[in-house]
Amino acid sequence: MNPLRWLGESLAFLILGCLRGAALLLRPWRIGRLLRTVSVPHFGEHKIRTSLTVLGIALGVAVLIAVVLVNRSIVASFGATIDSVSGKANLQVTGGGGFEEEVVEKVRATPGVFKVAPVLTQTTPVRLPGQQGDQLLLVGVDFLGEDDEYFREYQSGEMPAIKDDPIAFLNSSTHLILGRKVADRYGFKLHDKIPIVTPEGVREFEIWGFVGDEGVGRAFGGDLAIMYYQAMQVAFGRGTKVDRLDVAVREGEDVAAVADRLEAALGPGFEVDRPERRTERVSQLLSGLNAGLMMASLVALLVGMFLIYNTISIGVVQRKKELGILRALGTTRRQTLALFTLEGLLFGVVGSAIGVGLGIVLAKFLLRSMTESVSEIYVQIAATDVHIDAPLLVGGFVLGVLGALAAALVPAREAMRVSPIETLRTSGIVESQGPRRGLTRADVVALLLVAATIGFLQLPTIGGQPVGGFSAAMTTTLAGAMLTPRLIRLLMGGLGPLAARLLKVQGRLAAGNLTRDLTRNSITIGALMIGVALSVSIGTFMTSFQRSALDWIEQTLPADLFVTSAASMANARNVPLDGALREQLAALPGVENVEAVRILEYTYQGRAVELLSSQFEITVKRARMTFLEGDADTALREMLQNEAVIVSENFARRFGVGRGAVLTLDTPDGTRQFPVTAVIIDYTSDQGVIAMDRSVYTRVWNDTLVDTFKLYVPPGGDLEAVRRRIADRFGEKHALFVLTNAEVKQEVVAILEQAFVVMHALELVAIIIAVLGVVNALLASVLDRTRELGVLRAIGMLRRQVQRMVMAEAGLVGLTSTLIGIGVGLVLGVILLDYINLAQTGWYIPFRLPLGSMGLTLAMVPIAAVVAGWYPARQAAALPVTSALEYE
Amino acid sequence: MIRLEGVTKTYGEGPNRVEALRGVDLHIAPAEFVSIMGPSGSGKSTLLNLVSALDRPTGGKITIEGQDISTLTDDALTLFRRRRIGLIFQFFNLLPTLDALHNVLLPVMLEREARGEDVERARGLLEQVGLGKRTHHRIHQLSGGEMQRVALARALVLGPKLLLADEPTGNLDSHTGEAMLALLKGVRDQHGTTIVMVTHDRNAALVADRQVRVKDGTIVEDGAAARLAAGA
Ligand SMILES: Nc1ncnc2c1ncn2[C@@H]1O[C@H](COP(=O)(O)OP(=O)(O)O)[C@@H](O)[C@H]1O
Ligand SMILES: [Mg+2]
Repeated sequence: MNPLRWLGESLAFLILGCLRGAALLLRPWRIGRLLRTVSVPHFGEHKIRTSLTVLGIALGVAVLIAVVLVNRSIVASFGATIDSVSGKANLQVTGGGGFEEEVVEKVRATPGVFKVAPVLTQTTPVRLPGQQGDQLLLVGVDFLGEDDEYFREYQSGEMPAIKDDPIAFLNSSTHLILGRKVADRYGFKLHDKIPIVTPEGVREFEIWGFVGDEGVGRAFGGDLAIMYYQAMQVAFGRGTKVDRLDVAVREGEDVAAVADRLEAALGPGFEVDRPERRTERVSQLLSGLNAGLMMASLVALLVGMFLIYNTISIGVVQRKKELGILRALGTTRRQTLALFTLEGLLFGVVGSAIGVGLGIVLAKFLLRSMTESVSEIYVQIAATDVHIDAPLLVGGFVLGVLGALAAALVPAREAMRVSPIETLRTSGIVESQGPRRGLTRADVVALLLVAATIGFLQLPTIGGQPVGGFSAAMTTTLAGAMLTPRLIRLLMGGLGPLAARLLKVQGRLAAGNLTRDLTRNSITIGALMIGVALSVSIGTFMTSFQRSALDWIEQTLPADLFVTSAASMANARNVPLDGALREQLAALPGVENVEAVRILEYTYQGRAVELLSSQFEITVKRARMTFLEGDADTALREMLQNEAVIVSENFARRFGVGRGAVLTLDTPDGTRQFPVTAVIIDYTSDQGVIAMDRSVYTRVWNDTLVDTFKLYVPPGGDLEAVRRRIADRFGEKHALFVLTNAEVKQEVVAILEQAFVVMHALELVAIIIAVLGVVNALLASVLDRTRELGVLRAIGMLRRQVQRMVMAEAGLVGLTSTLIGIGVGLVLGVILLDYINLAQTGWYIPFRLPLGSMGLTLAMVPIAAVVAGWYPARQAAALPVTSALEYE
Repeated sequence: MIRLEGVTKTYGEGPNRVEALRGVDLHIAPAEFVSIMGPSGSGKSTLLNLVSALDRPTGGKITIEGQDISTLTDDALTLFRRRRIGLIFQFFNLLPTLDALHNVLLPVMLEREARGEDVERARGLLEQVGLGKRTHHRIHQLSGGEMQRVALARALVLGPKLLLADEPTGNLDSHTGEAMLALLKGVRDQHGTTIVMVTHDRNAALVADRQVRVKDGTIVEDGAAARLAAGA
């Protein structure tokens, strides 16, 4: 037996079994008996339609659950790392991207503080020859100090001995204790050398011990190494600075009060917060991405609701006679309403239950891709396990059930209106619906939705989230769905004759069928349209963003070569390089100039923005920055003379600052004032960028590390030769990535694509659910037209002509859906760019027509629909003529 | 023209087995107008379906215009129906998505792109059945009698030698029914078309030249005897 068929039949068997079981549970009630006599046999008769509908809702719930689970898992994994490293800390002191370790003494002297210990962290890849090494979290702690014991647990056989006699261990800055898990993966043994990327280049670290999967050893999924913090300062060029201090509050003291006291004692420039705050910040960092994915999965669920709507209304139409009899036998209108609502509820319950299971499985697949993206763009994450959160699963289930219920209500009300004399009225002919004149109810609803859209777009953001924008996207989608019947008519005016020309009589008949049962087809097409619209709107965003970002690189980053260590770009993954490398690079033949750029993750007003410093004399000369406020010459002068900063467009928008404003920044020197001299377009960070001259930065932050060297080669110079020279001289030593300008652009495109992999998967699921709807609608349409198909066959239509006719109908469904979907998608794209993205990132991105995704949907969706039409078409072609012609 | 020899037809298997026809021999000459009568469930439609090439017999042989149709493939049967036979049913003959003219043209369109002369012919046929003014009417704008006349025009569009009708007047009032029968007779007289018509209605049956009576899957009376039984 065909395995696909076997799978399909097993699934149908399972789903029908669940539905029967649920109906059985309701047996004690009258409505349950009605369900068993009216609905269950109908489900059995229409196995495919019933199964596909349940599957549709299941997929919708599954993606919703998967998206939320993935987000939870990522945040939880980050939180777990913080918990394992910080252990019993009540508070953490951070400030200005690292501060001098002597602050420990001030903290210790503050009343209420019980214990305090310094921490440094750094992620860096293991650099085995010929291997793309795993990322390792290096944790620098004072495990020889007394306080550290209080905070952290180390499950290590070797550490007690080191503590007893630390001299040998402290002898070198390259000794470490390795996580048992990584050690086993690479087969490292005690005193083996492990090559790790540092600012000084790749260095061999000696393994002095192992730490098991407990306490600190759990951090970063177990891929970690522990160092003595002072050794780490040396090895990673951090001077005498630490990243943070873990603080434990004396028993009985109020944590908040101690925090206030600490802030007062340390003065401006420091933040004192609970460790959980950092997890919250990561959660906030991901909120934009997450909100987008949530919306997309809700759209998938919405498409699933359309499926339920259509299935139940088809069921009502096909059982009109039965309903008439039931009504004549004394079933009340209310019972009819309840019956069909209950059908929807059953679909919802069974579908959502399957969806929950499917969602957990799906989450496992999506987690990897999301972790990759988040690590690339935001923070290093080592999330490998899906964090299963019961309330969340229940929430997803309930949402699925409610959605199904809501979708069932409309057709259930139709069923309620079936009168007892309905039996006499059915003719077996599906009548053509003539065009309605004037405004229909759907038109009015559409107009109201448009009005609501305009209203929503005026709303301010709520908690930084563009709730109005998201609502407007939903109302726009629904308005599109409401206008679908009208648009189908309009489009078929052109597509009908085209189909007739291309596909002869089959095309003509197919086109006729599309407008014949407009209500049913509108739901099918509306659902598919929504899938397409989702895809096109995301495409609009991606195309527009990509264009803007590439233009920005073109203008603002005109360097010929970009040099980074450990990662291809300066992002959450690269390891900073020693600033001294600049001279060595500049000395290479063929290099005209080298610009050093440092990008420090920096918390400004609770947000993880970036503090960028570079040699603006060079930048200004080479780049054509787009100034929204201020100008290049003044900016350069101000930056060099008055420690002025430039802020990015999104920073300016997010924090409401512009030229003339003064930023108060925490620095290792305490807080300092930095006047804003200009606002420029910059896509380095979606949170915002503060840029200052490198001379100011190195002086104030006492940090000479460099994230990217930008190299300029004179015109006509041999770029490849320079690149080879760098690779030969420093490549291996520093684990360098040397990218040309074109490669940087490719990399940006690749990161963007990677960031949208999950989104594309959601788009695909929405379209798949809608295509299931096409199968359902066509199967029902074939069934309802049995007699008509019999006549066609009788007067000489060949089986293959019948098949082609039904597939042509499917193709037209796909084509109209795509055309309407593209229109709605472009409107959604504008909302996405001008409202949602603007609110989330502060970037104003000009609209670009997404020719790629328009072309792709236009090519693929009608083909998918035709493929979906294959089975119903085969059913239609296989009808035996004589029985199709029979009258009851 | 039509020759049936020992034709049997059974439906289903085992306990559900129904012998709808039990050895039917029938010969119909060219240009003959034959009516088939009999009680409900006697096998009339089954017989007509076999002659219409809609179905294959279980046993025996059916020859139409010298072509043995018992052994044709489904596609060949379909083409045979399209090109050689005109069919009319009791109800639901027409496609609601096409206007009257295109319903008539449908068999042509299944065959090839309709040409100017085809359209002229279809118009002429509609004219002939008295619907010259209704060519562009949608089906739901027509009365029952008008629909049957469109169906007749469609059945004739490819000029078949054989016209088969299953209860063509069954759904019409007696007045429109009579008009329909007159048209059928006219077609035979004018074009020499062979007509086989299943009917319940004695008066309808009497319009034919020859009456065949079926009962329990066999022909029980043929010709004069049947005519007599019909009460003429
Ligand atoms: N497709 C079928 N399957 C099973 N039995 C059938 C089928 N078609 C007809 N029959 C049976 O064959 C017998 C003859 O039917 P039919 O030819 O339709 O009779 P009539 O047209 O004279 O009323 C009846 O008993 C009917 O139930
Ligand atoms: Mg019959």
